[in-house]
Amino acid sequence: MKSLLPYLKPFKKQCVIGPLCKWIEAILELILPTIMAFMIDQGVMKSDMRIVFTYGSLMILMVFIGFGFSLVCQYQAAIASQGFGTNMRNLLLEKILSLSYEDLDRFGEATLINRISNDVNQLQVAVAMLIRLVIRAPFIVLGAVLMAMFLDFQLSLILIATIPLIALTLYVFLYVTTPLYSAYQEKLDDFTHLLEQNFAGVRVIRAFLSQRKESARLMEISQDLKNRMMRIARISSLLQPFHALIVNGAIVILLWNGWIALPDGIPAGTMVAFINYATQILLALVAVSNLIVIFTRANASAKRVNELLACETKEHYGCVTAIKDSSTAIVFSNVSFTYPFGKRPALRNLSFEIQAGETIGVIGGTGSGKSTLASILMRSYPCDQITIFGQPIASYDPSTFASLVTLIPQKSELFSGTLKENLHVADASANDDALWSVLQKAQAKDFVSEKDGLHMRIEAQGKNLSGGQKQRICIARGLLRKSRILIFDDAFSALDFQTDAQIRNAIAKESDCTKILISQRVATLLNCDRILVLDDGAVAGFAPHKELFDSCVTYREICVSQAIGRQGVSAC
Amino acid sequence: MLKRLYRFMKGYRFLLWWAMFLAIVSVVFHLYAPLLIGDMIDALSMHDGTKIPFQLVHLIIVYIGYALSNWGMMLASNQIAASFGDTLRKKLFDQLEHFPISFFDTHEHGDLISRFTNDIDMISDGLLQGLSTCLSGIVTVVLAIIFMIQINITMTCIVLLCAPFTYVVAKTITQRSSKYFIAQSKNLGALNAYTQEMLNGIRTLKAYHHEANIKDTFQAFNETLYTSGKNAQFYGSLSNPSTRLVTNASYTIIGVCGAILAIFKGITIGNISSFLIYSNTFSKPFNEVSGVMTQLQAAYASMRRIFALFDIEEEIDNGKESIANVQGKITFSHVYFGYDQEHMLMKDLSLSIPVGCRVAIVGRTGAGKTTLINLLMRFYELNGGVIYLDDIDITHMSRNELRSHFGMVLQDTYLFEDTLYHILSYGKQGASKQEVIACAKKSGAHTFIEKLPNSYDTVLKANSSYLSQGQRQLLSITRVMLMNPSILILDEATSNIDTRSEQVVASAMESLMENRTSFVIAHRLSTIIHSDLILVMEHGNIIEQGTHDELLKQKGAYEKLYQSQFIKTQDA
Repeated sequence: MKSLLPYLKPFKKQCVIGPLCKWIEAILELILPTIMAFMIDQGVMKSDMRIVFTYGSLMILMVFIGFGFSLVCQYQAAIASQGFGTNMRNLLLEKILSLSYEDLDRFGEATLINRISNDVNQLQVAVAMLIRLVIRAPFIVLGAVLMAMFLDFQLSLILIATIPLIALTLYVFLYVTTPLYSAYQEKLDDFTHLLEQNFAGVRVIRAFLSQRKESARLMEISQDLKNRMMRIARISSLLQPFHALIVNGAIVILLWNGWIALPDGIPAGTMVAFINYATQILLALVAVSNLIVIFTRANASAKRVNELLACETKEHYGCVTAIKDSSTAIVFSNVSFTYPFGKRPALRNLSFEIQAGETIGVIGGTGSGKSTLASILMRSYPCDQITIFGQPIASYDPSTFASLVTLIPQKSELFSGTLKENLHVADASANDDALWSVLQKAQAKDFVSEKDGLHMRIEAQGKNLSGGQKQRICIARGLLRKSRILIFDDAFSALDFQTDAQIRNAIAKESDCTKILISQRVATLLNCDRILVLDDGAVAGFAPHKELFDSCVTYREICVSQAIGRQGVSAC
Repeated sequence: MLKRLYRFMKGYRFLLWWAMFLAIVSVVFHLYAPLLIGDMIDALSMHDGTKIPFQLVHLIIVYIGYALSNWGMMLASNQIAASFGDTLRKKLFDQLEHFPISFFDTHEHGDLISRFTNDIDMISDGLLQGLSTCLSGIVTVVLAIIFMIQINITMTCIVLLCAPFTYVVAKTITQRSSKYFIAQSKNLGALNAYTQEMLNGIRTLKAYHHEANIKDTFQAFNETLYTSGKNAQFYGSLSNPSTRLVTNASYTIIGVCGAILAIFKGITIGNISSFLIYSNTFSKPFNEVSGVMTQLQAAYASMRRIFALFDIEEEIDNGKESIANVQGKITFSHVYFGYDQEHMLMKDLSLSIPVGCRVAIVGRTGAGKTTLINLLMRFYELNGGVIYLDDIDITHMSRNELRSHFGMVLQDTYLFEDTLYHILSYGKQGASKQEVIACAKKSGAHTFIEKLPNSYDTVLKANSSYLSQGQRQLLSITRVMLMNPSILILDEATSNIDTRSEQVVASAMESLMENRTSFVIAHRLSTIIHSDLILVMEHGNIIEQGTHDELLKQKGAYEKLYQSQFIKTQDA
């Protein structure tokens, strides 16, 4: 938790003023009984109504002043806690955006969401309590002990002895429950993950009638969550009774001392005062034990937040912003690549060159490494042996790289908002004409104008669109970027052949752009300048269609399976 | 709302009463101890120590009794809170199972998840704090009144008169702040939904270097959350100082009234002091309850969000008819359907499919091919007309009964995170490993499964790049082959499988489709040429139907579509 303290710095003012006001309020509250005593001693004893009213009004005044101070404190607490939480969430988001793909995979969506919302919430509550209550309790404990020392030093030792005992129980409690809270939060992540899967896969669940099965999985996790909660509860419910025993034990010892001191005895007033102080300490401790529960929980959350904040961003990219005018667009020199979790290399010894302005087709069986090729070209995973326009792929500055290479993936990723907003992801400065022009190229103009044009609503993940419509919008978005290199990773898969052909005709006109078309369909690639054939991660051939058909067995097999001959004439 | 809450606690009402009982016991012990101490102090001041050892033992027993009953009460209320969270999670999930698919298509998953995690957490927290504070509070108030009446009725009335003030103040603040709490919950849900969506599309966002815009949008969400959070926190935290204001004011008023009464010899000074103590005891629970008011309010707001889900109408599913031996005859009779009421997609669609017919559906993207399947599987309900399966209106069957006759392979393969063995046996639980492997061999999935680190025991992660889209489709096909359904639906089932592998799958599917009604949606016309019936769809309606040869002769839309593949390939 300590490592998060610096983030409270912007709220230093609130953290000082808040507790200070609380403190003044507490003092005013502590004085109240003394004034009451004066009123009774002087007013009632002397039957003087004037004194009663004077002291009465004084007390009322103090009550309102105290209220004013506590208002200030609560306000400061609200500002500081919510402000802290808001800053924290912004910070975490920034961190998440800078994580590498590897770390994103490792953390997983569910825990990232929980950390940014649930965990930060816990921290927020802790900050508010820190300002509102933390100062008050120790102040009352210390105040009570000090007053006791003035009254009778020897007897006060009994009260003082309770303090280390209380500290010890608090320490043990924190030590034992913090890991339990972490375990609880982890289970909560699993729970979130399960829900996510169930919501996204609802069609499959219903089609396979497996509602019962999913329900059973949820029952199990929910039960587990409950059990983990109870494990914590069994310990946390001990805290308050323990404190009561310690303080009440002190009272018993006090009384016993009084008995031993007979026949001289301890003055009754002192005895009453001591017992009052002990009770005050106990009351303060009740507040403390409630706080402790909040803080242990926050502590577990702080650890999770910290883990994310401390995660080293692994992307070490250069700062090259100038793109050289090289005639060679992409060079692979003996590139091999294995996924961090994989055992076998997904790509093996790839070496080739692609000239600027070429249209390259990539084909290969399922799992032959086509998409991996696209991934490493997108710098999703680091790879050193690739140069783009004469400079190592890693040397480009991120924003330069983003305008250099654009990938249009098979799985369309759209966001809730208008069509315009979705397109603006690629280029926020593009005007409406530019947007219509790319929609035209992507053959999306018709269905877009049928709906509400550029203001068409798109739901999260494009749920209100068909697969083909989504792909066409993604293609339009990719074209808007006007990158030097465009990669279509099976981006036509949901389109019918007619639309597929129309789009390819439209993009063929962008002659200064290097295009890489990854596809299963030979027909889609026939017009490419050269076709790269991948087989089990290695190059099986790299040449124009006819040449490949003659020389490459794998390629010929693919063609035959799609009824495509040497001339490219469909035989069906 | 509270009644509803109580209904949810059905299973642990006994626990609730037990907690209440323990609360009474602990408060009785708590209030009894001061009486004992008073006696002992009186005895000590009289220098009479004879009874002290006996009383000390007595006191120790009372203290231990207090600690034990307090501990028991905490445990019980923790148990109630944890169980309640568990019950809510399960009930809510059960409820979701009966929601129409359109609910999941139109609701943000992140927000739903937030209800399951954040909101349920808030409720069980609120319940825990509320229970332990309110229970002992109520008992304390009642006992304090009893003790006070014994001393003096007039003064008791004055104390009691002050109590409604506390209530009024608390009530006013609660009403004011509850709207902020509702806003806070809502904004948190919105932030969650946004984060979820962003994480879903993070690869696209990073590729377009869109981080800065994400940050802006997130910060805007965050800022709204800050404002509502700050208000909720501040107004919520007002209740504590406000009740303290009222308590302290009443303390003063009671003191002054007592003093006046004492001057006119109505009561003794000792009585004033007793009343002051009791008025404090009396108001303490109000104070504590208002202390947890913030949490209770947050819980209340969350509760509303949860109950809102419970209030959503479930899908009506009261069909009773079932078919033992499905033949597979399907009839659409005057079907009307639109995703929203204003735009009907299908208008008066009628169609008759004989038993064992192999149906292919073609058409441009967005023509309504998948919609047809959605209606057949009752993922969506018709706006008019009837669909019959073997001459039985499908709405006369339960959804599960209907769906149990269909096997479906979708373009979007949704595979749950599990071992491959479990994924494959998803449609036929308890299938033996041999069965699974046999099917995988038939579909051709066996080859790549064997290459995975733990073959059939490999755990497939939701978004990991372990498997390509094509491989996922192969798994999805294997899953349905194992299920052996009466009617088969293949919606672009092989779109991502390379054509060579497709030939392997094709023969397996061929045998699967033998003598079985099947629907195939495909863009590759080569895969559907041999169908018994080809439906050509446009704008939600069937514009042509017949066999491949018949349709070619018609020289209509189908012929054009077919030629587009042919001509394009000829260009090369």
